[in-house]
Amino acid sequence: MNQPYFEDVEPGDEIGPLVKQPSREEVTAFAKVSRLGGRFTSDEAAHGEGYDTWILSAWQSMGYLAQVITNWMGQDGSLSKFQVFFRRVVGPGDLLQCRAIVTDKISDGNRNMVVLDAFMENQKGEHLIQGTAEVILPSRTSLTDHKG
Amino acid sequence: MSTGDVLDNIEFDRSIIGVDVPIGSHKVTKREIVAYAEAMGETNPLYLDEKVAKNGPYGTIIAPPGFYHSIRLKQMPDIKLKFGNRNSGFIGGQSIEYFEPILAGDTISATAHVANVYAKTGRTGTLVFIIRRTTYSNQHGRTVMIVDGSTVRRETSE
Repeated sequence: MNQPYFEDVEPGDEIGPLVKQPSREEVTAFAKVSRLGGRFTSDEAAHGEGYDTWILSAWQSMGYLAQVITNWMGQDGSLSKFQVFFRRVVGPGDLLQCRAIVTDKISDGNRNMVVLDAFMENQKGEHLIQGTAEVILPSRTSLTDHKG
Repeated sequence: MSTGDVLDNIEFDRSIIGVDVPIGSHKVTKREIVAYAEAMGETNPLYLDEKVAKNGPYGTIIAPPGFYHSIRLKQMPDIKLKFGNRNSGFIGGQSIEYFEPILAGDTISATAHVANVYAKTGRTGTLVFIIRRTTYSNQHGRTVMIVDGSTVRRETSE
């Protein structure tokens, strides 16, 4: 994992994609650790709630989108804000691409913050989740930067 | 179009809005974090590898950003909304502010309150939005994260 530094990042920089195609087993495994049931594990329950088949939980989708950011920010980066809006349901076989783009960078003397737009899209190019994030990155001039 | 008048005609418990209540605490284990990270297909050693994490910035395994949802807590405050039905509900979004990571071994306590309830009426009918704020703190009394979550209830013909 390469460590990005604040000075090396510029607005317009693209992050990702992180590609996921969650299988039934992966959805079930996530549901188990999150103690979710119903439409996330059972076709019958999904039918009862108006879905054609089982769907991915919003928490799993959100986790994937966070993952593309945490993979990028390195061990010395930290996620300080993350906001997501769920637009569409993720279903079986969907090929998911999580991406982010740097929109701004702000340094207040204490913290070096990078602002991102982030989204997850499916194989049709539909945005399933849209969001924003703020990430604190270390500075090359102050390698004892924020750890929180 | 946001419609306060619509909300006036919808039955729910308005008395709990703004009332913060404890929803429990849970000691987060290394095993739980690793299981969550594996289920998410994470590869970051800070979430998975104790040896690497020990030499990392936090000295131990930390939880991925979405882990909070899997922490075993009590039920969130319920406004007992009489509108649509639970199956017509969905998660609208999450807004999370992180102050410090959740570490393996932390005891995380949470309080929650309903921060806002509002309605919007559009082409597909009326939607009721419930915004809940949950504050997670660690055993040192420090806030580790604040989550504003919105759930949406859709009008149904039932």
